[in-house]
Parts: sequence; structure tokens; C-alpha cells
Amino acid sequence: MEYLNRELRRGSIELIILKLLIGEEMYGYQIMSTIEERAGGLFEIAEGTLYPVLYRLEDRGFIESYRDNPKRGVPRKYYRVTENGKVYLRDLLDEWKKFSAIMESLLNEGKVEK
Amino acid sequence: MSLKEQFIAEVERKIIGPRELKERLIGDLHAHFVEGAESGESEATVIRKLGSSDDIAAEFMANIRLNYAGFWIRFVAHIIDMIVILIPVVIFGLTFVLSVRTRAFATVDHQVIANHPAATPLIILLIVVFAISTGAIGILYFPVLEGLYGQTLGKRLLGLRVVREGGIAIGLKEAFLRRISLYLKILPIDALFIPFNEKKQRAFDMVAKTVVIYDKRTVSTDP
Repeated sequence: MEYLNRELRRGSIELIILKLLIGEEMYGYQIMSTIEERAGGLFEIAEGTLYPVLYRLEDRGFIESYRDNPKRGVPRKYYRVTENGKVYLRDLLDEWKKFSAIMESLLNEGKVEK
Repeated sequence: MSLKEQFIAEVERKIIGPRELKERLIGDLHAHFVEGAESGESEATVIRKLGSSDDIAAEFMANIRLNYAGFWIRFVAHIIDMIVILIPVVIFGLTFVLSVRTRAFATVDHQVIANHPAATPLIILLIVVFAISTGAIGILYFPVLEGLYGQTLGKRLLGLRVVREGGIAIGLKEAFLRRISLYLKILPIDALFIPFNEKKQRAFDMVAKTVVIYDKRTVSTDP
């Protein structure tokens, strides 16, 4: 059960991160603050576990990172979505919508509507 | 050490993998704290929101593929460890023999007799200390070293490491559990399990949920 939850969460976290980054290029801490802001009440995310998710997206080429040159001193690592990432996001969204539709159907009437 | 340093060190201790990947996470964690400070958050708050070091380590290790070590190399490591354990025994034995030779004690009909009245209780004391310490070494060498460092001398020399199934560092509990077969003298039977499962675990590895891996040969699961 623990394993399933973790996998489900991982999949939805990737979706959330990509959707956020499409809207605006952000650095790690910013991504986490935004998520917490918008969904923090609903579910507790251990922010530290988001970094390896970012790395997985980056290592697979769906997002890329770059350093900006701020006036403040320490360069920040920003992330943005790549072209491959946009395709991946579209697939994830598709899957998510199908998944929700099926769940809805199953939970309501016990029959899967095509 | 500040809370932040302690926390980051904790995470660093629990993860293994290629150096650049570890450095990436540690670097980002440091930067995260800087950002938190700039937003006015205390280190304690940042730590609370980051989650437990175990969870972070587990998520990091999910991207790492472990390289399991097989029977023969573990066997050799074990031999080396046995030799290491025997060294104090040999030293003590030699000392004893040498002191007989130098007439501190004398032997008559294979009975050790003392040349000096105070020597008898001393001999007995030395033998007891010897028995206890070699016994202690025999019992504690493996679990203490593996529990604290993940490696005994033999394993370290051969580049092996004991970790939990997910790749995270083990503690004393797992270290003692996996040694039960050694204490019960059934280690050879236990070791027979190694070639027959994917993670190359002994039966007691499965009990303790530990695996033995090649320390330097972990790779990322991504291309």
C-alpha cells in the first residue's frame, strides 16, 4: 500500500512540477513554496523529496536547469521545460484525465464508460 | 554544528551513489536553506518542511541502481575479516609463549607454575581478560563495524558495503540481525542462498532486509 501511494504520488508530483514550470521558470525553493501555497492544506509534501523528482525529470531530458546571475550574490538554479518535456507533460495530462474519468465511472456506477 | 549542517550531514550519510549525483543533492539542499533564510524561515522550519532525512534519502536512492555482490567476493572478504579477528588472539598467544620462554612463568609437565607468588592470580586474570576480549571481538566485530560504517575491514578492502534493500545505510539492529547465522554457526548454510536470488542475499540478509553491494559501482537508473 505504501509502495502504491509512493508511486502514485511520484507520478502526480511530476505532473504538478511540469505544469508549474510551463507557466513560469522557477528555482527549487520557489517550486516548493508555490506548491505548498496552492495545495499545502490538502497534502503534506516533504519538500526534500521533490529534489530527486526534479533530478529524474532533468536526467531524462524533460526539464533543464541553468544558473541565473542575480544581483543578490548566490546564483540560483532555475528549471525550465524542454520540448521533450512538453510532449511528456501532454502524455501525463492525457493519462491523468483518462484515469480520473475511469475512476469516476467505476466509483459511480461500477461500469466503465468508453 | 548548526541544525542545518546536522540535517544535511544526516542526509549525506544515508545516500550512496556516483559523486556528482550526491553533490547535486547536497548542493541543492544547502541552497534551499539559504533561500529559506532569505524568506525569513528558521532552520528548524525549513527542516520540518523538507521532511525526514530518511524520506529524502529514500527518494534519492530510488534513482540509484545497486550492484549486488556475489558469493565469492563476499567469501574472500569474510576470510580477510577472520584473519583480522585472529590477530589479537595470535598476539596474545605469542606474548604468553614468549613470557614462558623468558622465565616469567615456567612450565612443569605442561602445568604453568609461577616463579613469583604474585604471578598466579595475574596469570588467571590475564587469561580471563584474554577470553573475554577475544570473545567480545568475535561477537562484536561484524555488527558494530557494519552497523556504524556499513563495512568491515575485509569489505572495505574489496569495495563492498552492507546497505538496506533500498540502498540506505543500515543501523545496528540490521547489523546484528544479519549476523545471527554466524553466532549459530550456520553461516555456511545461510550463504548458500546467495547465488539463488536476484539480490544475492543470504537468508539472514532477507530477515534483516539488507544487501551487500559494490560500493563504487552504483549508477543512476536514468540514461
